[in-house]
Amino acid sequence: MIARLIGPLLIFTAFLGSFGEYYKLEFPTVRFPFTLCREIPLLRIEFAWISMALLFLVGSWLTVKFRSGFRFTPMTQRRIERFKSIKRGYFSLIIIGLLLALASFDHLIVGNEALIVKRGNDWVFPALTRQVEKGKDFGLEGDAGQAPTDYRKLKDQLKDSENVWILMPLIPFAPTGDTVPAVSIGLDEDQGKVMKGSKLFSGLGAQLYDTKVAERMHLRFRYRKGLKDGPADGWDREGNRLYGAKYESGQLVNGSESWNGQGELKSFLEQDSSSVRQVHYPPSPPTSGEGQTHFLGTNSRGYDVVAYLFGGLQVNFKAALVYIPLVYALGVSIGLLMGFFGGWFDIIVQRSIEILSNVPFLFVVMIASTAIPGKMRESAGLWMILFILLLFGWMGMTYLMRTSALKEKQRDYIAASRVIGASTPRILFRHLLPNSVAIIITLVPFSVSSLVLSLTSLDYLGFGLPAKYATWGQLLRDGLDNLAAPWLVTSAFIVLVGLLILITFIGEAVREAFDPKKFSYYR
Amino acid sequence: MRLSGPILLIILFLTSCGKEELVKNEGANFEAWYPRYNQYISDWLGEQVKATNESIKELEDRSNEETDPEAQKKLEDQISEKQKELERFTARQALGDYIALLDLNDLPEDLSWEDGQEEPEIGDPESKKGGAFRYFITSSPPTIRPFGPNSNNSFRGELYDNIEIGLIDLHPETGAVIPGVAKEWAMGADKKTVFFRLDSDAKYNDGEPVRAVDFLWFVYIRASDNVVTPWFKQYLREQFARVAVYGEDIVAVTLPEPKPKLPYFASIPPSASHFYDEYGPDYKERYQWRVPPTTAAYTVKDGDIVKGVSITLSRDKDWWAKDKKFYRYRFNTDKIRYTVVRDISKAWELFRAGEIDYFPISLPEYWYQKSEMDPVFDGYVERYTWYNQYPRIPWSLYLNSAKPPLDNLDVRLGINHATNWQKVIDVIFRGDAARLPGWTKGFGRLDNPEIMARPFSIARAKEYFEKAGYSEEGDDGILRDAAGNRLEVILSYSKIPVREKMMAILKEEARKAGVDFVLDGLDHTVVYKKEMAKEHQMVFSAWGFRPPYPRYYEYFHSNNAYDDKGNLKTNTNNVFSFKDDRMDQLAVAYRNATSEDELERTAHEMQQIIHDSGVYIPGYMTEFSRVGCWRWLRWPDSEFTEFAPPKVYVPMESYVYWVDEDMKRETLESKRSGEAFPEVQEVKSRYQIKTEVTKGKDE
Repeated sequence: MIARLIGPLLIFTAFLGSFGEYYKLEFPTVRFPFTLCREIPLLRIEFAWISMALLFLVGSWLTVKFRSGFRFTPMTQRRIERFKSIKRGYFSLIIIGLLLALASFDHLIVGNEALIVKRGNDWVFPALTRQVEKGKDFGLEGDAGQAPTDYRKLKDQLKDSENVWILMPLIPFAPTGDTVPAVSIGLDEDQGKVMKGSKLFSGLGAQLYDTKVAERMHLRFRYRKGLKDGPADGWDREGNRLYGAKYESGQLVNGSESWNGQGELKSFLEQDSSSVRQVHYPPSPPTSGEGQTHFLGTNSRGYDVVAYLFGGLQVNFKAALVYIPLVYALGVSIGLLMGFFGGWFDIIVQRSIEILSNVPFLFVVMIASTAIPGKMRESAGLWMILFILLLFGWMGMTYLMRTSALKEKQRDYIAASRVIGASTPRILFRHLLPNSVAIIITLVPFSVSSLVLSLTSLDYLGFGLPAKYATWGQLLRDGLDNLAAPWLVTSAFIVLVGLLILITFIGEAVREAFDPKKFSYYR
Repeated sequence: MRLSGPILLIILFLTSCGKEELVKNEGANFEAWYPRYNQYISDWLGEQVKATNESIKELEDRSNEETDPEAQKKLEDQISEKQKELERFTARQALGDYIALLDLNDLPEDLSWEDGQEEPEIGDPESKKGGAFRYFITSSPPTIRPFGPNSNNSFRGELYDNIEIGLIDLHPETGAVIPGVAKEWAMGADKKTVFFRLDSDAKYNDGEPVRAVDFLWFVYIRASDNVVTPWFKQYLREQFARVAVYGEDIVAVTLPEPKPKLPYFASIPPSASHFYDEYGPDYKERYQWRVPPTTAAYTVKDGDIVKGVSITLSRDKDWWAKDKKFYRYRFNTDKIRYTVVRDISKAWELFRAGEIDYFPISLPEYWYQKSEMDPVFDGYVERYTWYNQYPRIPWSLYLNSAKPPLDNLDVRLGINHATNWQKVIDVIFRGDAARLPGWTKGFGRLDNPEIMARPFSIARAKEYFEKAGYSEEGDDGILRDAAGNRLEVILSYSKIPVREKMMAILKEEARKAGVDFVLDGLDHTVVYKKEMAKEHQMVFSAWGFRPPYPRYYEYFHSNNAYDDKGNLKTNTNNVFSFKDDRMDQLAVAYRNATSEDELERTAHEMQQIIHDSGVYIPGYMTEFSRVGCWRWLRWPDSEFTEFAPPKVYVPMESYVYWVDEDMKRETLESKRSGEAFPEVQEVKSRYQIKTEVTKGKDE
């Protein structure tokens, strides 16, 4: 039974997080409260410790509650059974669960820090240590030694050496802040003509000093129908332009060459460089192999799209896990109180809801996005947006809760418990809440999908999260700005629609499972 | 209830739309206005003299009381500056009336007249008249008045500023003065006055001749209280000392101080007095959609403004300057049609389809990807790279030295080394742009050739940061000082996609050097406000410089940084909060310079000071413009001009192109039959500024 696992899992999380913090290790996901407290200046690190303690307590309580022999009420059991019997929703839930598990592995799957660097008998785990390893720790010199290590480059440089072994994450790119300047795709040569696939190549082709550093070209030619035609340029390894020439139908135009480097032109032209390749700047199409591997290409900032999508998924989960409990706690309790107390309280809250719901949401977001100081916006961007969403999101469900509480409080069992002498909180939370919450539960999945949608659309409109977050909305906008790069808009669209469909399936199944009139339906 | 009827009627009346009929007003009255304006200016000068005298007195008192020799010296500097100001005002008072109608006999006798005829021609003698040039604008202008509210929109250049012929002009290649409406000009003995003799041929495009008094009307219609034009009012009051007319055809303009290239700064266009005969307090509404006759080759005919759709300019076939040197090979097409296309990507599609003749393709995205298309391969569309010598726009990071930690020189220098513009150039511009070396570039001899921007270097940056006390490195890789403060700088910029990309790269790279650029992307106006309130730490922006000289005083003089009490002064262009005694002297000397040598000497030293202070991190510049155009749009290739004269910002603004109708017919026929021409992609580098090693540039 999965429910039984939750308690121990929370306890384990609390221990792992505390352990990591104490020994300055970066375990995926469980480090979250600590990084959050460090990022937001207002929060002190003690909050993270408190949240760890809370996790432990909740975990222990759940473990005790769901100890072996525990059974749900028959009603709940029936609902779970019914949910499981709706295969579409059930499997969607499993898939979402798997995705959640995958996302929680965080920088162990998608990141630019190596998991393991083994040099001789020396083992280092850069991804797990909190401090940033410098290039000089791995024997790099100059600027590369002072800078944080570029493990992709390091792996490439040391791939031939015997005693060094580097294990990179599955996707060796960070979701954001990891620009790939350019990538290249190999072109074929056939009978002296350059081909792209089976077609004669027209466009710019370049010979590179290093296929992994596609922005540093040795020679670049313009090709027309497979032949060199038009201007040609040459650069040294530092990117200084030294050579220029002109070709016509594959032939060098006499006297068109210019050379302002040192030494012989011949030796420059004969320098060791790759065969002709097509260089793509961001957004670059999907590539694999010799250049660099980007399964879905890069976006217009030069970030790997797979990594970016992964980062976006994490943001969505993070937002949902924080937002949903908060907004429901707020909405449900206010709605419950409105229905239960009625009278002045009800009227005042109703009017304030009416006022609040007439405030144009988008304007508030726009004003907030300019009024909040830059530093705050960057460190706490997601939480600001969630706060604003929360401010406007709790109202919808209050009326449902209010109705349901109004209905339920007239029932005999409420009167009975009052007669026995139960206190108001007890009536509210032991009797009213469990009996009226069913209608709300069915809304949860839809709230999740609307949250994902609002985050995406805010990003799309440019009022969303700061650039350090990977978000699907930004990718979508990027894709629509660059329609010539269809891999952006397709991947953003597919993952967004995919996630929303999964959540909707779950939502349907939950509603079905909680439906009191199981066998009746409208025609 | 009884009241509601009349109220409704009133509301109906007030909101009634339908064509607004403007009743005939009293009409313009220049004769009555100009004595009043002269009085106003003389009163204003009196006030200024009084205020300056008072502040000199106050400064003198303070200086007498001051015991600290350094402070005393500063006060004395201020006094001498105020005295110069005072001299300017008193000299202006001595000039007499601001607007003067004088007799030809009053003209000084020993004037030596110049006519600039020795300068080379502009354009190509092969050019043909006729045809239409079709281009796009992204929004319809809110008005076509040349001045007044909303007139400073981006379309005013196409309609007036770029094509109107003023008294004189600067030659777009040599930079020398060439005649315009004035046939000849002469410098006065005071070195502040320029006399212009009008060309007797000069006419407006409605056929009326240009009269000398029309230059006084230029002042009248802009400076009178009938219209809200704060900028013009200040400009006319403070940048001009006198506008005078001698007889029928001589105009004299006096500036408050001597300047190099005086005729250029004294040149104004005429305003057709016969057109503004209904000028009055309702100018704004009355003239909202009326195109004034100008001295330009083009005007807008009735019905050629289709609001929200297009605006068409028509060539005056009988233009007065059509056979004059410098003008005869320009303004060639019969029509220039600007269609409103709100979306750039849609405009590109129209260009591909041949509905638009010309498209700027400087951006690498267009040059390397979008323009690699069939019409180019088939030779219908030709591509050109054209080098110009226009001042480079200083797209750079501006540091506010008043805000910690940027008040520390070592931190600033460290940040200079931690800013990787080269990667921005490589990634965003694909190596096409070049690193801007210093504060100015493209001003010829006024650029200090010794100055080079500091390269990105993590090691050097860290050295400087260590010197500034940031030696400890935190877990996040960001340096900290002894008190544990992170080394972070807020970088403000206006939030548009390409800048977001650039700033993300700068941040990513700066992080490697241990400094955190906190990205603060804001709406454009908010950034500007923040900058003007001096609340920024570091900002990415630029000022568009115009030829012939860059300015220093407003950006670097301490007067524009701090007020008397030592607080930051807001709404000035000294966004660096720059304060340096030597700089103050130089900036003043530069402003008062009367020769180019003096300008050069002071400018070079100032550029060195700016470089040493590290308050300015030069960004990138492009040295060329790349354009795509349909092959019937021809460009000069003559001994005078290659493609377009070099001292213009984009080739289109030089109006030297022409449309070859035969070629157009031939091209359209070939396009229909699928016949191709050889592909054309050319570099026009006659005007390229040569440097030893050019960084990763295109072809």
